[in-house]
Amino acid sequence: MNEKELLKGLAELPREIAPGRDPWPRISARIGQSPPGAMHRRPRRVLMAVAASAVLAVVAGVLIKTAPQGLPVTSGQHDTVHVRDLPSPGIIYAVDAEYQAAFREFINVNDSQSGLKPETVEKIEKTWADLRTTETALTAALEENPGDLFLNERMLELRARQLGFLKQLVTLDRNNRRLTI
Amino acid sequence: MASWEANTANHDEDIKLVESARKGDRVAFERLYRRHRDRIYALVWRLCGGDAALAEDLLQEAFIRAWQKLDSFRGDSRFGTWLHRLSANVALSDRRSRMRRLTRETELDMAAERRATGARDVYAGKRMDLEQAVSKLPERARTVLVLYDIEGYSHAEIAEIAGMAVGSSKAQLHRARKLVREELNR
Repeated sequence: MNEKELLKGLAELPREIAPGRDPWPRISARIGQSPPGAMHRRPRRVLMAVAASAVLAVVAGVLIKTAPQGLPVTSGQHDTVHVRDLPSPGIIYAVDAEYQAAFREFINVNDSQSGLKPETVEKIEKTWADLRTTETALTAALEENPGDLFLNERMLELRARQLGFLKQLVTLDRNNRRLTI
Repeated sequence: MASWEANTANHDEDIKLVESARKGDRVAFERLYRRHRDRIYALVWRLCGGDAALAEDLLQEAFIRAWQKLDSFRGDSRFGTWLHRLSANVALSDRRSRMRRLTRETELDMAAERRATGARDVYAGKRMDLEQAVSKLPERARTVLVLYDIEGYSHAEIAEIAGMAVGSSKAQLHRARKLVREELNR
């Protein structure tokens, strides 16, 4: 068979094939659980949730990590650590200030009725879910070992990534509005 | 002309059904499903390498996703085109997730790539040789051949849907045609 014959054969393949079993009953059961367009309307709620959880996480992190120098911070039943073992409060303040600035911009994203494509929103959700998974794991590890320098540094890195993510969202939204106006 | 009129009538009917379905009318959505089911099934069945069970799952997921995203259909294109594209995304996303799992467990060689397509379906014996040859292709080559040669997508569209460069799409098409010809000439 040469290429011409192959292309002809491919063009003649049926465009419609009936499935062996009709999955409509399962589809009907699933769509009965949510109104149409549920996923498309979700971004606003998701973005709000992203913002809210990120703020809570950062505020909680700052409150815990900026206790006066030298005072012991107790956690759990037997762990006692000193704040001097943790990353510098100055760094944390800087990260937090930068984050808060990004977050103020981020609120505008929520209010803008952003016309992001559903595929883009899915990617955003996926990225944020990954960051949240890492955050959950790190938080759990820090609860076990609050004085662990390595874990605290990883948490700071994570906060920086969350910050960068929010900044990208703001940029994305700005570009999107610029293109759609 | 008759074909154009029929297409226009179908499009208008789809738009009416979409409007009703958006208001929560599941009967209207079922009619949309009945009108497009076989077209979508053929697409996902070929994309997943002729695995009937997986194709039925993908068909189900595609229509559930369509229901969830009905608000995002603005009527810029035909509903059938929008649904087709969405279904291709569903099928390829599913494959990508299976491939990611495989990559973690083993080297991504040709054998692993083929195993990811799952068991061949029970209709294999009845299928044309050409369908069989297509179903045996490695995943990426098959994706490009099905979307380009059978479904009429452009390389740019394939690149976007399948997450590859336009050049890769062209290279995979060349490879796929060569492999199919070799299989049929064997």
